[in-house]
Amino acid sequence: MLTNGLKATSPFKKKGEVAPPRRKLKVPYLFIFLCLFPWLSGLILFTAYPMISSFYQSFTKFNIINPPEFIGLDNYRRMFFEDEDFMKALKNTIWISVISIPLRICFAIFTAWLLTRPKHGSKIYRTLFFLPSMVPAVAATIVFTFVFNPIYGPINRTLETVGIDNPPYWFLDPNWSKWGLILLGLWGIGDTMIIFLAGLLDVPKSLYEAAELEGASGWQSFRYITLPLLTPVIFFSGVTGVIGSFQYFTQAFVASGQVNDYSKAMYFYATHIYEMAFKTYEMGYASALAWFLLLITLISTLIILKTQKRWVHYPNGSLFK
Amino acid sequence: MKKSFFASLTVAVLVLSGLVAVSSSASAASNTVTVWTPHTRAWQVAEWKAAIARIQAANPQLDIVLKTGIDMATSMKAIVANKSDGPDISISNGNGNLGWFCGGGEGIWLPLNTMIANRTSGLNLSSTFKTSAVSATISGRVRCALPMPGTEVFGFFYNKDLLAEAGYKNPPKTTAELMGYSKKLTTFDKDGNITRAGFVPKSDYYGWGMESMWLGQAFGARWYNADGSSAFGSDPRWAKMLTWQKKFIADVYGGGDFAKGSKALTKFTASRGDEWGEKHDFITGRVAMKMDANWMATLYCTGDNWELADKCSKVNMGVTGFPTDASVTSTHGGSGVAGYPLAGISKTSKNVKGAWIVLKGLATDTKLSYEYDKVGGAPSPLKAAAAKPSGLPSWYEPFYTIQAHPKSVYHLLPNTGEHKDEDLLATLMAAWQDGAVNDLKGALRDTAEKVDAIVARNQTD
Amino acid sequence: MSHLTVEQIKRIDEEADILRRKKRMKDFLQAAGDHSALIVMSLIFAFPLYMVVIISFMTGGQAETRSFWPSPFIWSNYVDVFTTVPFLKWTLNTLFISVMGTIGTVVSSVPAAYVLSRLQWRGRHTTFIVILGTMMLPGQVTQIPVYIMFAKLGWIPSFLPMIVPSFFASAFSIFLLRQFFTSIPDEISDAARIDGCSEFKLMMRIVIPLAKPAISAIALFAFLGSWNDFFGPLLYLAENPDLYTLGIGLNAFKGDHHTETNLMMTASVLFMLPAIVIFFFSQRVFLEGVTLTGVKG
Repeated sequence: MLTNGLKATSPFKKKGEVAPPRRKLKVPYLFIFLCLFPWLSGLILFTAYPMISSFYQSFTKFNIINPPEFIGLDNYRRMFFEDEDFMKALKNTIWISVISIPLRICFAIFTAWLLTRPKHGSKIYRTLFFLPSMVPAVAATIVFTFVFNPIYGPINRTLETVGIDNPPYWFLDPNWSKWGLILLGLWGIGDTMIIFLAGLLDVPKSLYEAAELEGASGWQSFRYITLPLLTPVIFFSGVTGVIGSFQYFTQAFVASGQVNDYSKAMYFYATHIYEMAFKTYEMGYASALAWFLLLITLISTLIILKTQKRWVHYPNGSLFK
Repeated sequence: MKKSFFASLTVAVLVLSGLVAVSSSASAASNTVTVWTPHTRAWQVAEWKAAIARIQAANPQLDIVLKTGIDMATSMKAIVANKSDGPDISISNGNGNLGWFCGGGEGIWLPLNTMIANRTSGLNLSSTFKTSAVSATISGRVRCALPMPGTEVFGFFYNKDLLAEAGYKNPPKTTAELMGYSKKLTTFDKDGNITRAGFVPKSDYYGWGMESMWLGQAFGARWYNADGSSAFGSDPRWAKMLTWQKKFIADVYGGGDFAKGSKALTKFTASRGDEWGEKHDFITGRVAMKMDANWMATLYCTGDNWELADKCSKVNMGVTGFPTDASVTSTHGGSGVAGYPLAGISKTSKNVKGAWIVLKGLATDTKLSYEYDKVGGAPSPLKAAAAKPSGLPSWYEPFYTIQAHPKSVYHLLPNTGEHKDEDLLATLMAAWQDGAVNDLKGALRDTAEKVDAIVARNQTD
Repeated sequence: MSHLTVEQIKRIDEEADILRRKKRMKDFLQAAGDHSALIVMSLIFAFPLYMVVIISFMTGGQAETRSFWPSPFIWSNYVDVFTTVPFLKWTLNTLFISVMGTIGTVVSSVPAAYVLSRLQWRGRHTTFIVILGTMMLPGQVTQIPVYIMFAKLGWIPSFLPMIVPSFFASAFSIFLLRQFFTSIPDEISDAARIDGCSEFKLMMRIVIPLAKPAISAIALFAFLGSWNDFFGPLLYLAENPDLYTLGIGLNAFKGDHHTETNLMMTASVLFMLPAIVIFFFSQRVFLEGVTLTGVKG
C-alpha cells in the first residue's frame, strides 16, 4: 500500500544515513471503515435510531399493543403537574447525588491517602479496601439489607452493645433507608479510590519535601499541593458520579424488593422509568421521562465542564491532547 | 406404457399427499388453542390437565396445548410482543388487575360480551356463577374474563384457645369489640415490647398492603361512586376507618400515646415470623386475631403440609366475617372480600372461536372446580351444587357464608393500570400509620383525584 | 583549625543518638498510627464480607439470631443451595453470557480503537468525540425502542439481546484501548509499513500483541460487567426462569423461598466468588486498567 513512489529503503538498513522524510501515508479508508463498521452500525441501530424513536414516542400515548397515539405535550404536562411519583423520584435522585458524590470523593481521597502512608504492606490493605467494589451489586445489596436489619442483623447488635439505644431501622425506616444506600455505596468505594490513589502517587515527592523544608504543616501541604493536583481526578469523578447517580437503579431496586418499600423512600428516577415502561407499559410517558433525564444530565455535566477552567489544574495543559 | 403410467401415478400421489399435508397443517394452525396457567403445585397441575383432557375429548377438532407455571406478568409480555407461540388463554391468580387487562376493550384480553350473549354458544352468567364471581369479571361495561377455580375469600381468623383464655367465647362482631378484645389479649414484656398482639391493624405486617382493603370493608367504605368517580374523598367512612386505626394503635399498644404505640408496633412487626412457614405469628400465637385469605387456612391448620383437617394441629382456629363498624353491621356484618382467578382470551389470539370453547369449558367444569377446591379449600365460583366440595371441615364453612354475602363483592375495577387504586390507598395508609399525614381529609381527596386522573387517562374513546 | 576534644565528640555522638532514637520513636508512632487506622478501615470493609461468609455456614434458625459464629457449621449449605434453587443453571447461564459478551466486545472494540489511534484520517477527532458523547448518554433514552425492537424480533426472552449488542463495540472499551494504543511509539508502525506490511497484518501481528495488558483489562471489565449485570437480564430474561442469571436469581430468591437467609448468603458467596478470584489473579492488569481510565485524559 505504501510502496508507490518511495525510493528509499528501510531506514534501519543503511548505517549513518539520515532517514528520508516521511511521505504522507495513503489513508487505507476501506480498512478504517471495516474496523469501525461494528461500532458505526451499533451507533445507528442501538443509539441513533432508538433516540429518534423514543423522542417521537415521548409525544405519544403508546402501550405496544396499540399503535402510538399522538398527544402532543401531554406527557410532559403530566410529569410536572400531575405525577407525584415523578416528583418523589426526582427529589430522591437529586438528594442522593448531592449527598453521595462529595461524600464519595472525600472518602476516596481519605482512603487513598491512608494507603500512601505506610512503607510496607500497603498492597494488602489496598486489596482489602478494593475488594468490596468487586462484589456484584445484587449480592452487595442483599448482604447489606441483611447486615443492617434492625432485628436480625449484626450492625444494630454491635451498636446496641456499645451503648446506642434504639439504633435506626436502616432499610426498614423511610427516613434512614437512603443513608443505608449511601453506606452501601461507600463500602464499594474501591474503584473510585484507586484512581485517586493513582492521582496521589503522581504528585512529585519533591514538592512535599520542598514544602516541609519551608515549614508547611501536613494540612497545608495537602491543601496547597495535593488538592490542586488532584483536581483533574476530582473533575473526572464528579462528572462520572453525576452521570452514574442520575441513573442509579440496581441497588435501590433490589433493596426495595427486599424490604417492601411502601413509602417510596428508595424510589429513584431510573426506578420510575422502569415502572412506567416495563410494568405498566406506558412507553410514551416513559420516553418523555427518559428525555427529561437526558436534559438534566446534560445540563449538570455542562455546568461542571464550564466551571472546570476555574478550579481544575492540568499539569499537562488540557483534557484533550 | 407402464413407465408413463407409473410416472403419472407417482406424480399424482405426490401432489395428493402435498395437498393433504398443506390442508392439514393449515387446519392444525387454526385449531390450536394454547392455554397458559400459573399453577405449579402437583395437585393443581394434575387437575388442570384433567380438565383440559375432558374439554379436548369433547372437542376433537381442537388441539389444546396446556403450559403450566407461567404467571400473568409473563403471559402479558408474550401477548404484548405478539409472540407466535403465545397464549390464546391466559390466567391471572386474582382479579385486581382486571381493569388493566380489559383496558376498556383495548387491553390484552378480548371483550367477551358478544360471545357470552350468543344464543347458541353463549353462557348464562347469572345462573352459572355466584354473584361475587360475576362481578369480578366486569370492568365498566366490558366483560373480558371468566372466573376460574381457586377462589380467594378474605375472612377473619381467630385463635379460639387464646380468646378462651381471655374469657371470650365468641369472636368480636364489631370494630369496637375488636379493639376491646385486643386490649385484653395484648401482652407486653418488662421493657414495654409487645410479646403478643391481639390484632394488628398495620399495613406492613404481612402481605402486600391488603389491610387497607380489608379495613375499608370492615367500615363499609365504598371505592367508587355510581358515576365511576373515586369515592375515597367523598365517602366519609374512609376517614372514619383511618381515624379508628390510629386510635387503635394508640390505645391498644401505646396506652393512649400514638407515637409510643406506633414505635412498639413497628418493632413488633419487624420481628414477625416468616410468612410462609410454621413460624407465622398466627401459628406461634404471637398474634391472636387476623384478617387473611382462605388459602392461608391450610398453613394455619396443619403447618408445612398445607392441608385442611377437621382438627387442626397447629392452631385451634375459628373463621368468621370481618368485625364491622357499628353503623354498618346490619348491612355488612358477616361479610369479607371474595376475589377470583380469571381467564381471558388474548387480543392476539389466532383462534378466538376455539379459545372461547376452551374458556367456557374451563369456567363451567364442575369436576375441576370440585376437585380443585377440595384440596385447596376454595369455595367454587360455580353455583352448581355438584361443585361444592364435600368433606371440608366444619370450621371452614364460614368461608362459604362469607363468599355468599352480597357485600363481599370485590370493588369495581375500572382501568387503573396495575391496580393503582389499591396501591394509592395502601400508600396513603402506610403514610398515615407512620404519622406522616396531617390533613387526612385532604389526603383522601388528593388520592381520589389521582385515581380519577388515572382512570381518565386510560379512557378509550 | 581547632579539633574537637574527645568529650565534645562524645557529647555530639550522644546527642545524635538521642535524636536518632527520637526520630525512630516518632517514625514508629506514626507507622503504628497509620497501621492502626488502616487496620480499623480494613476491618470495616471486611466486616460485611465476614458476615456473609459466616452466615452462609449457619442453620436457617441461627441466621436470624445475630450470632457472629456458626454453631454448628453447616457445610452442606453449599450443597443445599444447588438443590433448593437451580443455582448451577444460573451460573452456567451467567458464564455463557459473560464469555460471549467478552468475546464480542474485544473483537469489535479493538480494531475500532486501533484505527482511532494508529492512523491519521479526516474525521478521526470527530468520531472520537462522538464516542465520548455516547458514553455520557443515559441508557434510558434508548432502552425502550431497543426493547421493542428485540420484542418484535422475538428475542425476548433469550440470551440474544444480552450478547448481540456486544459485537457492536463498547464506547468505554474503545476509549480505554485508544488511550493505550496512543502510547505505543509511532516508529514501530512506521517501520512495519515501510517494510510493506499491510495495515491489517500490522494491527494483528505487531500492535495487538504489544497491547496485551490493555486488551486484558477491557476483557476483564467486559466479563465482570456482564457477570454483574442486573438490568439487562431483568429486562430480557425475567420471563423464563430457565434463563435466569445469578443476579436476577438471587434477587428473586427471597420471594420464592421462605426467606432462607442462610442459603441466600451461601448463594451470595458463590455469586461473588468468581469476581473476587478473577480479581486476585489479575490484580495488576485490573488496577492498571482502572488507572488508564482515570486521570490525565
